[in-house]
Formats: sequence, C-alpha cells, structure tokens
Amino acid sequence: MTAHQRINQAYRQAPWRKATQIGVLFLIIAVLGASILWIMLTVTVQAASAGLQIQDLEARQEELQRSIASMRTDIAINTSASAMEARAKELGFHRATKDEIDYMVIPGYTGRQPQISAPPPTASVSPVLIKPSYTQSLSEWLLQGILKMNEQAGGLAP
Amino acid sequence: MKSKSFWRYYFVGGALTLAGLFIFIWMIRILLSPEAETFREIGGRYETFPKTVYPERGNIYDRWGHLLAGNVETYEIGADLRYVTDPQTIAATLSSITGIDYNNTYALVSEPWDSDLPRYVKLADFVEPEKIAQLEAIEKQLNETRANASRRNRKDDVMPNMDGVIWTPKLKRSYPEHTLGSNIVGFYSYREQEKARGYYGVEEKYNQLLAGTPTQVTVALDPYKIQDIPEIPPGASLVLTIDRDIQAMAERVLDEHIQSSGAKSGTVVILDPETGELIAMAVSDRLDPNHYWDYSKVFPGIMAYNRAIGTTYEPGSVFKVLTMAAALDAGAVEPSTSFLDTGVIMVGGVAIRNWDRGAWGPQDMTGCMQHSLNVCLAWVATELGPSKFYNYLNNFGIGHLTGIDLSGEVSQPVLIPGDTGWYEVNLGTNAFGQGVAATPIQMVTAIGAVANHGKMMAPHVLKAVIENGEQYNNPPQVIGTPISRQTADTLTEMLANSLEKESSVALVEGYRVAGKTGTAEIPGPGGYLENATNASFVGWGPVDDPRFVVYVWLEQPQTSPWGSVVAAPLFSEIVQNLVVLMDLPPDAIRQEIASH
Repeated sequence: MTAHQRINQAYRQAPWRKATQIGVLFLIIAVLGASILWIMLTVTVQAASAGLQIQDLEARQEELQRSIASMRTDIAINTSASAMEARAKELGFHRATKDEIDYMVIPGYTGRQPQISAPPPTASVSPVLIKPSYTQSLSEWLLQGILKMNEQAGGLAP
Repeated sequence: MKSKSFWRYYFVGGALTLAGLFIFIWMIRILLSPEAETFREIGGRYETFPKTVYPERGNIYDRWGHLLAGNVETYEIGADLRYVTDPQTIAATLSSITGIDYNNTYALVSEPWDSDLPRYVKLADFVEPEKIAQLEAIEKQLNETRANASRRNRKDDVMPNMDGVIWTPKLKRSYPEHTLGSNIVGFYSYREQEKARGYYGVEEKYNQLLAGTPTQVTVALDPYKIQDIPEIPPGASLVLTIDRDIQAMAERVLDEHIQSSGAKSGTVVILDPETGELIAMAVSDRLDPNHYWDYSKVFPGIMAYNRAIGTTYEPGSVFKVLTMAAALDAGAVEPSTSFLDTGVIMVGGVAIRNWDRGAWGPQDMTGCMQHSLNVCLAWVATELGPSKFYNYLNNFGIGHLTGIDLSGEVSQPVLIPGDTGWYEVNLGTNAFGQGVAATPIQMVTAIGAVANHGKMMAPHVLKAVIENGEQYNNPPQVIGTPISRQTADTLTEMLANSLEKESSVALVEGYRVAGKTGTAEIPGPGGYLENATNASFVGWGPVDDPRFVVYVWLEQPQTSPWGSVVAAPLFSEIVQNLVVLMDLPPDAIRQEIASH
C-alpha cells in the first residue's frame, strides 16, 4: 500500500465524512418535505382565497344589479310624465296646440325611433374561449391525435 | 462520549416517531369510531346551505322606452337573538326610524335565547335605503361610544347598542308613473313574498315571462368548496305599444270631461287600425299600483279594474257603423238607397221609433247615419235579414273575446235566432246598438276593420319582448276580413260626409275624420233606466290614410244625455292633442309632402 493509497483510505473512512453524508441526506429530505408542505399550503391558501373572492364578487354583483335596477327606476321617477310636465311648466313652457306647430320636410328624417332596441335573436354559436387541450384528459388527447393522424393519412391517399 | 451522544439522538427520534404513530393511530380511531358519522353529519349541515335565487322581475316599457314598471332596492330588518344585548335601544331606534310599533319590537327582540344556533326574527320589511342609511349612522355612533367606554375600562357596563340587528337588501316592484296606464300595466303583489304574482293587465298576462325561473342553488360555506353561482337570467322585459305621453293626455282629457259632464265614469281607447296596436287606453278609476293594497277602496264591489276590456254595455248608435257596414257589404243597400222615414217601423210586432220620436222624411243612407235614425237602421237590418246580420256581427267579433293580451277581458254572447230570449224585435233594436252588449275594446276592434280598409287586426299591447339581451318583436296579425275594402272605404266616406254635413263638434280643423255618435239607454232590473244614458263616439282619421281610431264612452253624463253633446267634444279634444303628439301634419300639408 503506497502512501497515497493510505491517505485516500483514511479520507474515505473519516468519521466526519460519514456524518456529513448523513447530515446532507437529512437536509435534502427536510428541504424536500418543506417544499412539498409549502406548495400544499400555498395552493390551499390560494384556493381558499379564490373561493372567498368568488363569494365577495358574487355579493358585489348582486349589489350592483340591485343598484342598477334602483337607479333605472329613480331616473324613470324623475322623468315621469307628471314630473316632466311640472318641470316644463316651471320653466315657462306650455302645451303646444296644433296651430302653433310648423311642419317642414327634413331630408333623411325617418321620424321618431324607439329608444329601446336589443339585437334580434340569432342562431349564433357561443364562442369557445378555452382551448380543448386544457379540458381534455390525456387519453382523449391521445385518441384525438391518433384520429387526426388517420384522417391526414386518409386525405393523402389517392 | 460519542455513544452517549448518539443514544440521545436515538431517544429523541424514537419518541417523536412514537408520538407521530400515536397521533396517526388516534386519528384512525376517531375516523372509525361510532360517533364519527354523527359528527360528519353535523359538520355537513354547516358546510353548505340551499338558496333560492329569484331572478329580477322584468321591466315594462312604453313604446319609446319610458319605464312603466321597474324594481327598486328595499330592505328587510331582522335580529339574530344570539347577539342581542340591548332590546330597548333596538326597539326605540327602529320605532323612531321605520315607524314600527315599539312594544311589539321590544317583545320580539327580548325573547330569551341561550342556544348557539341562530334565531332570526323579522322586525320590518320593505324599508327604504334612506332609512337604512340612518340606521347605519346610529349604529356606527353607538359602536364608537362603546369603544370609547371600553378604553375607559367600563367593560362590564352594557352600553346602548344594536348588536344582533341585521338588514338584508332585496328588490321590490315600483311603478314610476303611478296611476298612469295602471289599467294596462296591472300590479305585482310583492308583499306576498314567495306567493307574489301579477294581477290584471300585462303583469298578470305575462307573469311567467316577467318572473323568469327561480332556481335553487347550493351555497358552500367551506371556502374550498365555493363554486360560482350559476348565472340566473332576469325575467324578460316587455315593450308595450302604449305611448306614455298619449296615455297621459287621454287620461287628463278624459278626467276633465268626466268632471265637466258629471259622468259616473269614462273610457277612451286609441288604436292604430293598421296594426291593431293599442296606443292608449284611459279609464276611470285608476289604481296606483305602488299601493295595490288599496284595490278594494278604488274598486268597491264588482267594478272592473279596466272598464275598456272588463265591462260590457249597450253601445247605442255607434253600433250602426257595423249594421251599415254589413248591409253595404252584403249589397242590401247602397249609399244612395232612399228611405222614407215616417218616424216609426214595426219589427216583430213592436214599434221602433227615432231618438227624437220624429219623422225625418226621405233620406239616403248617409242621411240615415248623419241623423242617426233608428227607424232607418232597423229597416236596413230587416232588409239584410237576421241570418246575414248576425253572421256579420260574428265576423266582426261581437260576442267573442278579442284576445287582447290584457288580463280581465270579458264578453257577453249575442243572442241569435233560436236562442232563448231572442225575439224578432231584437233584430231591429240590435241594429242601433240596443239589446246587444259589447266592451269598448270589442267595438274599437270591429270598427277598426272599417278604418283599415276591411281588415280586422288583433288588438294587442305587446310590441316586443327583450329576453337574454335579444329582442323578439310581436308582429301585427290579421284576425279577419269581415267586409271588403270597397265597403270599408265607402262607409268611411259616408261617415266623414255625415260629420261635415251636420257640422259636428267632433270635427278637427285641418284633419278629415269619419265618425259616429252613440246614445244608449241603460238596462236596469225592471227595464231601461229613466234619465240615464251611455254617451259614446267612435271616429278615425285622417280619412285618406287612417292612423288612429278613437273610441270614447261616458257613463251616465249629467249635463246632457246625448253622445253628440258630451262624447263628440271629448273625441275632438283627444284628436286635437293626438295629432300633435303623433307628429301628424294637417291633411293639406301631409298631402303636399307626399306629392313631392
């Protein structure tokens, strides 16, 4: 055994080296465990937070819907026939009689148009917002891929 | 030294492992224990709760988008007895702000409650947001006072507070125009909570459409299980054919004429003869649907909510329009057919006389209509014959529901030959609108056919439905062609001429209109009533392109019994205002514009 071999053996058998190896192993396990716990905790907290946020947003949506309905009615109350007539009288207006009206031709004027106009019903298909790859399972994705390949092969055939 | 150090490590590691193992085994024991299922069940009760989501009730608009029925925010006030510590302050505050009874409120919130389970008591309902703002301000002030007292170490004292009081927002029905058009709109009994529904008018007719579909959803309290509540679409909104400003005008003018004539009640119906769209329908009396619980005060006894569709009456001489239309169409008479009026005619052995009991001598058919001669029209009906006469009435829809999309329509069957109670004289009296009953909407629908060149349109108030952001229009429908175009145009010309010849007060300067007065006796328990009449007028115009049919009825006017005296001026005033609101130029200007 040469001197070099002896030093090498002594180094390998050194007790501090074994302790270091065990320590590092524990450290790796601990870090891995902590990481998994951290990820689980983060995901859980985020899920709970998102749930509460959904609840808040739903409450806010309901509040806004009630508020919009109330405001629409408030506007109608303030612009009701009797309210508008009273306001017009206060401003010094009076009801027009047919003798006070001058009629004239305005090219392009098609008369008074209804204020409410929602689009007519259509047979439109609702647009797909999420790509299928986000909703497909692995087996579905594979099956669709194979079918697509088959179709392409069939298409190329004479 | 080295071995001792390792022993300590082994001991700690072993102890921790044993503790972990113990916890693990204990957890399994808990999960498998007989009580576990019970606890899981109790936990499940708090995990979710069912909630019924009531969609917002659809709005009702007039043809120009003015809101006739909408919704406003309102609040229910209640208390959770678990948290109530000061019933006196709660009762006093709520009593002063909302006006609810102090003693009753105090009794409700003083109920002893020791359980941890919630105990909710309702204290007030349909409270306006302004009052809730006042409550919030008071609660905030009380909480601040309590917090200050707490800082001064007065924790044991029960400071005035409103703990336990809860207010929950919701929507209630609101009618911004109050009584305007309430006979058409109807009302929604929002105070009946889950049993609430629409009554009368479009609120009842389209209740299902307006209400939408209530949906029960499960709301999770566990934040991990919260899911998006499915979108519940609101009820459909309705766009009516009614013009708010014309409706307001019709109601105003009608009320003035009821007042000036001393009439018991009145009705005005304005219809577009080309489409059957109801432009306005004014009646007396009218209920403010915001206070629908006053219904029995406004309509005591068996009064109809909407007299224009819910009350039949003997219309009198306005009915002669239909008799003459039938006779002209069947070829029984022509406008130039002459008739010698001797002042009396025997039909079925009964003498029929004119309204003035006079004899008007030789007349043509225009003269018969102009002077409203009962004798002449009874003769016309006999010339036509009962079979054809009643067949035409049937085709005009008399005796049948018009099918107008308003709740509460009634009809009275017409007695025809063969029916019990029909006598030969009925043919003569029916010819001038006595012994036959119809609602104003039946009359205006039938006479609308004359104005619309023979085509009878389905009367309707629904112009469009807006559902899920899309508008579905309600197209006009032809429900029959009781007379030919030629007959309709001939009769219109005859009735326009007759108004002009007698210089009727119904005439409107600048606009050529056709029309007919009506004065009818009112049947009572022992025959017709003394000194009581129904005065009516029906007219349409402009004659060359009719855009409106106006039907007016004044019940038992006091200043004069005659339709020509009390109903014709009402028609004229309505039309004078109507042409302004409809942007309808005088005939001369309109024809000049059309010729360019």
